[in-house]
Amino acid sequence: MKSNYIAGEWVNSLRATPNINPSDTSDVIDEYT
Amino acid sequence: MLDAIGTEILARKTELGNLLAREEGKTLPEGIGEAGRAGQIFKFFAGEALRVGGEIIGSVRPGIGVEVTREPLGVVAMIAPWNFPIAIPAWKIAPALAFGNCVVFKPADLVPGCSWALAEIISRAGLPAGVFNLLIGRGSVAGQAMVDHEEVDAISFTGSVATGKNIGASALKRMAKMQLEMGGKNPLVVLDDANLEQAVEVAVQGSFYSTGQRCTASSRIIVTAGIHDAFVQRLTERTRNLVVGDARDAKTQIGPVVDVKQLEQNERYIAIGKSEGATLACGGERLKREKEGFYFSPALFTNCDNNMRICREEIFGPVASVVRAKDYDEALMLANDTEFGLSAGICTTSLKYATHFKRHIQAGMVMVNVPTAGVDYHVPFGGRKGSSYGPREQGRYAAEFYTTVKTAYTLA
Repeated sequence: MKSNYIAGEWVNSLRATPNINPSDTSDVIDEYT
Repeated sequence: MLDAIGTEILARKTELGNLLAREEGKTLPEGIGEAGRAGQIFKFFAGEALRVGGEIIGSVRPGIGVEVTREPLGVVAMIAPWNFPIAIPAWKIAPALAFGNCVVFKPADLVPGCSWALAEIISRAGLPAGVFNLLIGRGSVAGQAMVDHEEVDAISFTGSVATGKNIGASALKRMAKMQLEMGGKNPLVVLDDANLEQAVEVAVQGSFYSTGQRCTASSRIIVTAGIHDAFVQRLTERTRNLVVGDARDAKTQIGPVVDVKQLEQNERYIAIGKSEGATLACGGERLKREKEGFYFSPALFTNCDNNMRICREEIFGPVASVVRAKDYDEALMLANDTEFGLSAGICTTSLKYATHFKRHIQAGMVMVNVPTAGVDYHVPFGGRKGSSYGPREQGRYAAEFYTTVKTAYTLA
């Protein structure tokens, strides 16, 4: 999961959202906090 | 630091452009071009950081000197849209940092990949902790919290009109400085004396490239009577032959729509246009490709009236409407008959009409024989009327938003 960057630290959250390729909806690029 | 960020973006522009095409749907050349532009923006503002000047002015009172200087605002919150996932963040973040501000940046949660990659590059640039912050999240939650926070001194927003108005109202309550870049319903006027092939290419590029998902897209094409029929015939042929496909396929000219919500919005406007009596000359349909995606054929409406909803409301997709005008005067009147004023274009070989149009069109950006979409990184970007509120973005004019002016009087 890709995190937020706050006050010089990479910070995870409880929620993650998939980033979907609109050319191929089966392709999940990554999950972002 | 800004120069180093720009250098790394430029060195990685193919990789970043590929990511952009993969997450947003721009074609690969468009994605690489946008990444390169982001790198150039950081390099430009690396220079601007050294050019923040001031004035020393005489006073009307004896023995007193007056200094006028520019200072940072403090903390700037930035809310960016999904359609330019690296260029718009760059043109907000770079000037904010160049002029000494702290940044809290929220990208569109629909396409966070390029923004995260940009943040990762910035995180290694040597800025003090807390000067740059990335906050991914929903606009209604994270965005609203940023806008309402009393320690946020200014807000730079690019996005929809509805969200921009809400942000504006929230910011005004606590007198925060704001800059709002919102929608467009940009006219492209084609006059009888235009070069036909050039005008068709300008219309195709401006209306349909980047899948029409640009606030500067030419969504109203206003054509004078003498060239109308030949222009419509040629434009219809060109539009019908555009290759829609996977954003990263070398043959693709038009990538997919960004998501199913936007795809459905495009379809709704196709139905609205038909119900209003416009002629759908081509396109406007979901397309099947080898892989499941949000593919949509570029749509051209003809026989439109400027009062139709498809000519008044921003669709934000590959949908353009042709409106016939009797002559230049009527074309100019129709072009200005909109609540928006971001970009406008004219295709003509007449210096007289080009000059008159540049002066009298109510838009922040005017293009003569070039598409309404597609701008340089070193000059001001922004509109008027319902499209924009606050100082311009980009170029040297960015200092107007990202700094505040102080006037100091000294008796020495």
